[in-house]
Amino acid sequence: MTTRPPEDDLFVEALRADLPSARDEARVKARLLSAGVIASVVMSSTNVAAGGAGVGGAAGAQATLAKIGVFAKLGSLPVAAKAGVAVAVTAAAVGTAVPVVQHQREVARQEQHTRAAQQLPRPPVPQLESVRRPAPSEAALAPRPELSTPPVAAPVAEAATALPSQRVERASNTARAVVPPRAEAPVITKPAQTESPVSRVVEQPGATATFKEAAPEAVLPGPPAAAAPDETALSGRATESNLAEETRLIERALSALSDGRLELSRHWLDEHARRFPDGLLAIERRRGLERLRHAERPRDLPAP
Amino acid sequence: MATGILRRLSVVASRPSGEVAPDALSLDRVYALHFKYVWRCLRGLGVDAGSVDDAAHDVFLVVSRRLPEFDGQRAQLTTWLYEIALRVARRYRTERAKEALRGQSGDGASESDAPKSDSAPAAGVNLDSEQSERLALARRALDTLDAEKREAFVLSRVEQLSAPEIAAVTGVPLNTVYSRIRAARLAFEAEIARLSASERRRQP
Repeated sequence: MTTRPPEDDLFVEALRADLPSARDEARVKARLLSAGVIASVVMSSTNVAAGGAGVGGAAGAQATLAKIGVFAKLGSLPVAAKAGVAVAVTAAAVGTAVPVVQHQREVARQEQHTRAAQQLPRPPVPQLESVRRPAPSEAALAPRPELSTPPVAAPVAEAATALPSQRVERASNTARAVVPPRAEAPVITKPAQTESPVSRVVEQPGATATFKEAAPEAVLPGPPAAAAPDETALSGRATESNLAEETRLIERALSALSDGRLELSRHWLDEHARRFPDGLLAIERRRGLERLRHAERPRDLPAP
Repeated sequence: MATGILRRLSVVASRPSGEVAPDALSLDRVYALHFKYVWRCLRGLGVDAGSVDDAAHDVFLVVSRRLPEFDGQRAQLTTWLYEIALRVARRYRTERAKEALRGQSGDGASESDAPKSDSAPAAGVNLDSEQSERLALARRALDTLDAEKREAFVLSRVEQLSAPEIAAVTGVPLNTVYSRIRAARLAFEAEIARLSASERRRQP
C-alpha cells in the first residue's frame, strides 16, 4: 500500500470540508417545497389541520396523505404541466369564490336595507300595506330565479335553454299569461328606437301609468321613497312587456313562414329588427331570417 | 479502509443487513441526512457554484420520483444517491462544455465568456485563508483531470466510497476502477505539486 504525502491529504481534507451552509440547504429545500416534492413539517401540519377541519378524524388524516401524494406527483410534472395545473386550480378557485362573494355582498346589502328600514319612522298602516303589496316591485327585486320565482324571470331563463321554437312558445305563453294587455301599449306606440328597451320604456310616461294600473295600491299616499315606483320594478315590467311584444312579432313571422307567406314573414322579422335590434329574441330573429332565405332560395335559383 | 461520515450515515440510513429501515425511505429524512454530501459530491464532480442549486434540486426530484422503487436489498441508499448525483453532474458538465463550445465559436467570444471553474468555497463555509487557498488549488487540480479520473478520485478520496461501490455507481468493471483511482491520484498529486510550486514562485 502506497503512503500518500500529507500535503495531498490536506487538499483532500479541504475538498471534504467544503460543505453547503444551512442557508444553501434551506434554499434548495424551499425550491423542493415549492415544487411539492418535500412535505415539510409546516405543510404537513397545515394539511392535517385542513383535513381535520374539513373531514375530521381518520378521514382527515387520509385526506392529508392524499394531498401530500398529490403534491409529490405534481412536483414530478414538467414545468409546463405545473403551470397548466396552477392555472386550472386558480380558475376553479376564482370561479367558486366569485359567487360566494356576490352572495355575501347581497346578504350584506339586504342587512343594510333592513337596518335602514328599521331606523326610518314607520308610516301608517295603509301606506305600509301599499309598500308591501305591489307585485311588480317584489318580482323585480328578486335577485335570482332559484331564490324566488318571479313570474317572468324563470320562464325567460327556461326559454334560454330550450330549443328556439320552444323558447318562443314558452316565452310567449308566459308573457301572455302574466302581462296585462294594456301594458303593451307604450311599447307599441313608440317609434324606432336606438336605446335599450329597458331605459326606453322607463322614460315613457305610459310605462308609469301601466305600473300604476298593474299595482293600484302604489297610488295610495305614503312616504315618497316607498310610493315611488322602483326603477328595478319598472325595468322588470319593461322587459316583460318587450318580451311579450317580441314574442308576438317572432311568432307571427314564424307562423307566416310555415304557411309559406314569405313576404309577410319578412315583414314581421324586419319589424322586429327595427324595433328590437338587440332584443331578447334577436337570435330567433336571425334564425328566422336564415329559414326565410332558405325558403326563398329555390325560387331565386334558375331551374335546372 | 477508513470509514467516513458517509459510511456512518449509510449505517444510520440502512440496516447492517442491507435492509433499509422504513423510516429511512421518507424523502425528508433522505434530504436531511444526505443533502450535504450530495451537494459536495456535485461540486467535486465539476458542477459550478452557479448551477449546484439546480443540480441538487434535480437530484432530489429524481429521488422523490424513484424512491418508491428503491430496493434496499440490492443497493445501499448512499450508493444509489451517488449514482443519481453522478448522472446529474455528467449532464451539467456536458451542458457546460456545450456552452463553452458555443462561446468559442460565437462572434465576439473571448476567454472571459467561457465558463470558468469557480474555486471559491461554499458561501456558508467559514474557512480560513489557508484552507481557502488549499481548496482553490484542489479545485484547479481537479479541473485538470478528465471526467473518468475525476469521478474516480472524488468518489474514492473525497466521498470515501470503496472500489466495489464505485464500480456499482459508475457501472465500470472493478479492475478499471482500481486503475482509474490510481491514475487519478497520481495526476492529482502531480497537479497539486505543480500548482503549489507556481504559487510559491509567485509569492515574494
